[in-house]
Amino acid sequence: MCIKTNKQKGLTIIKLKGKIYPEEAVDAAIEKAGKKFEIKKQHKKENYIITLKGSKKTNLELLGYEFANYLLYFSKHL
Amino acid sequence: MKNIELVEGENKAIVSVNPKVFPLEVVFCAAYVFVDRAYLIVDGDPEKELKVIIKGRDGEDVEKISSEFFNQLLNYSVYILQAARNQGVREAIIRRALATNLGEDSYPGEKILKKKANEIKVKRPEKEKSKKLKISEKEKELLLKDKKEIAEPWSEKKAKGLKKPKS
Repeated sequence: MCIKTNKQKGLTIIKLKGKIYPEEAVDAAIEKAGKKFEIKKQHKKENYIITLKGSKKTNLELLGYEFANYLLYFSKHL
Repeated sequence: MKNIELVEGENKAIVSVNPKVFPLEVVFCAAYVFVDRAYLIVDGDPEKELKVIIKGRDGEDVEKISSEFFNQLLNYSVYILQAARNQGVREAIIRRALATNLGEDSYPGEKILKKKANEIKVKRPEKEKSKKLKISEKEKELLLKDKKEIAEPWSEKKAKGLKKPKS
């Protein structure tokens, strides 16, 4: 999993490994995080690319880490 | 420490875990404990080597968190091991507890118990039964006679004309 940010566009791009995080957990985390900020999910073979859109003021890197914690929560509980 | 790699200037640590010793399930459980103190990312290959990236929140000591993380790994490994060992006993207890409120058909053990109870009833000698009946008839006769009216309860009518006891 890696987190990349694009400050000009206000985007955080997260690359997830499908082997580690189950799809159910990813979908649940997207649903939960979707209430707070704009989010998009893309498939690439086994992996996922998730794009988060925050405002210019928000810390984009922390946004990615926040999403990682959501993922952790749903990976444990589902 | 070999398994903990600290990233300078970022309050971040990369912890490597052997998935053959601690499976992914245990790693998730252990990582979840620190969600309020750090941001955690599980990465790597679940067949070769897992890497947990820990980034401290608001000045939390990452080195301390990563050391505690290994303790939590051990804690959850023991927990899962014990849970697997006790699984059979737990299932048996729950099955028995649920069967108490169900009918005979759902729990075969209940039928066997009732059959045994009936066998014991049939085997009881008849003399004991007749004795019991005689005793109960005698008791009935005694109760019906009650010549001294001891069995009757106290009433105001009966108390008329009697002297009050001195207090």
